[in-house]
Amino acid sequence: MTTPVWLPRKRRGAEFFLTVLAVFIGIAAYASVGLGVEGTIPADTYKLGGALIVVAVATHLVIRRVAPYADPVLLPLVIALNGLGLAMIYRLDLGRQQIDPERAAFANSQLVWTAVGIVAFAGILIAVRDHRRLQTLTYTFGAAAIGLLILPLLPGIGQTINGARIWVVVLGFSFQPGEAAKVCLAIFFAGYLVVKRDALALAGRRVIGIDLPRGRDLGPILACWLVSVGILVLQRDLGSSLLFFGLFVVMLYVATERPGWIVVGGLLFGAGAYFGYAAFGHVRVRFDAWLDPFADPDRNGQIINGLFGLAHGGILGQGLGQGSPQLTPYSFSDFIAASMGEELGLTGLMAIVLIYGLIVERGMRIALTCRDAFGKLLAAGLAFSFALQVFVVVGGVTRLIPLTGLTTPFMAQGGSSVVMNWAIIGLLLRISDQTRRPAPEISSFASDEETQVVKLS
Amino acid sequence: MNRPIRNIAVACLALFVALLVNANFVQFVQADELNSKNGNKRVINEEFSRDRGAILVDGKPVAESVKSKD
Repeated sequence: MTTPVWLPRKRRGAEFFLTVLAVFIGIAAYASVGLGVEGTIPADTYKLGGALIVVAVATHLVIRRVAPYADPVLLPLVIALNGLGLAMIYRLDLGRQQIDPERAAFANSQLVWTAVGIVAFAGILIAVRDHRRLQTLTYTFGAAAIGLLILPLLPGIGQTINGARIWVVVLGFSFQPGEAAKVCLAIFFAGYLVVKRDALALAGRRVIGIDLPRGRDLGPILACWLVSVGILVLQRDLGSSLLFFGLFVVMLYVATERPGWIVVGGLLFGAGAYFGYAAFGHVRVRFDAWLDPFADPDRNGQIINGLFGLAHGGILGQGLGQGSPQLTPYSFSDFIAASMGEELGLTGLMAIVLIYGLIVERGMRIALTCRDAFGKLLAAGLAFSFALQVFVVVGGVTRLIPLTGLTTPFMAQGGSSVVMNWAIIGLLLRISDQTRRPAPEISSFASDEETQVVKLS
Repeated sequence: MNRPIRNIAVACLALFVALLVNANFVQFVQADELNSKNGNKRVINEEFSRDRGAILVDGKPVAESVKSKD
């Protein structure tokens, strides 16, 4: 096999062109929401359009300055998703206020959160000049993850919303620390597994064909995982426990190259799912709603409404502002994929799923081409958790799998999700900049001769 | 570590293909069945908002569609 020659190319021009397209998608979506709902282009289109353009130009310039070799496709994909999400949240604000003028509007706060997310994105690219620096903070991130997960359980700041105690309310702002904990855990797993991968893969004894690692190698990571999943079960946030578990198993598999971990993980997941079904009433409700939603139309109103919306959208959709996605409860957050499917149709929903797929596979490509093990593991972990999250939430809404509460990255209303997903993209771009950057030239030894003290010949 | 990463990448591809196939199933194959279900508010609203035209007697309308508040 010949080794392909890698020519470092920045491709910032391509990124700029794609970003212009992505910004256009966002602005056009916003304008067509106004045309669909009120018959006129919204008067503040310039506001959202201006904000999107400022955001796009600012992020592009930051990347040119601090990560010139970063992957050129990720930023435009993310801007397109974020712009579409903003337009849809604005559209649902209008639709929901037609039903009841008292209902809260989310578009403006979502715009503010997007700005915060972009500041986080730029901050990561500027502050973290080399992702390997994060490896020195492995245990700090592990502790931070557990701390973040405990926050909602503390009295005073923790709050239970819709049966899940996963919110923290400080100074009137509410956020879900679980989103940040996911990123911290990915960094912790990556840093820990890089050091211990050989010990995990090779030391230990073999039981019925499976190599079991030594307890002291697996101990800390298993403890961290148990604590995080235990907390999530206490908080009734099963979507996130599934996500963390998947992240854990896959990173273990990537680090040790042992497919046995996937088998063990699958068995554990099956046992956990059965236990959840037997022990928790709400898991049973979700599962039964997935098998046959129409058996109890009153209880399963949300998923049924989502399906009706999707079917009503059909192949080409009702058009932005012309369907009735506001009939579905939580159409702006959990069910935003169904709202997209109703108004943009099968075509639009498939385009959105493809955008997510491209983000994930670009992330996997970064993991493949990365030269250091820590970056590989971190990129693979982040990309996989992103894929799993999209699969669980979009699959849940379209009744491919039982519904679990997770946010749709970049589109669903919710500050912490938008901010942390921008942070994930910042980390991926940082790793890819390191990966695609040409290796520093090593000066030839010829010039060293002049400094020779001892003459050899 | 490249082999597991490649496998995971293919697995992710399979997840997304499953999402795409399922979207086609719901929005194309099942669409007619879902649209004809009882209690589908979207279809009912669509029927109500259809303009039926006036009933004319000698060219004068005796019954017209009037916009309702619902």
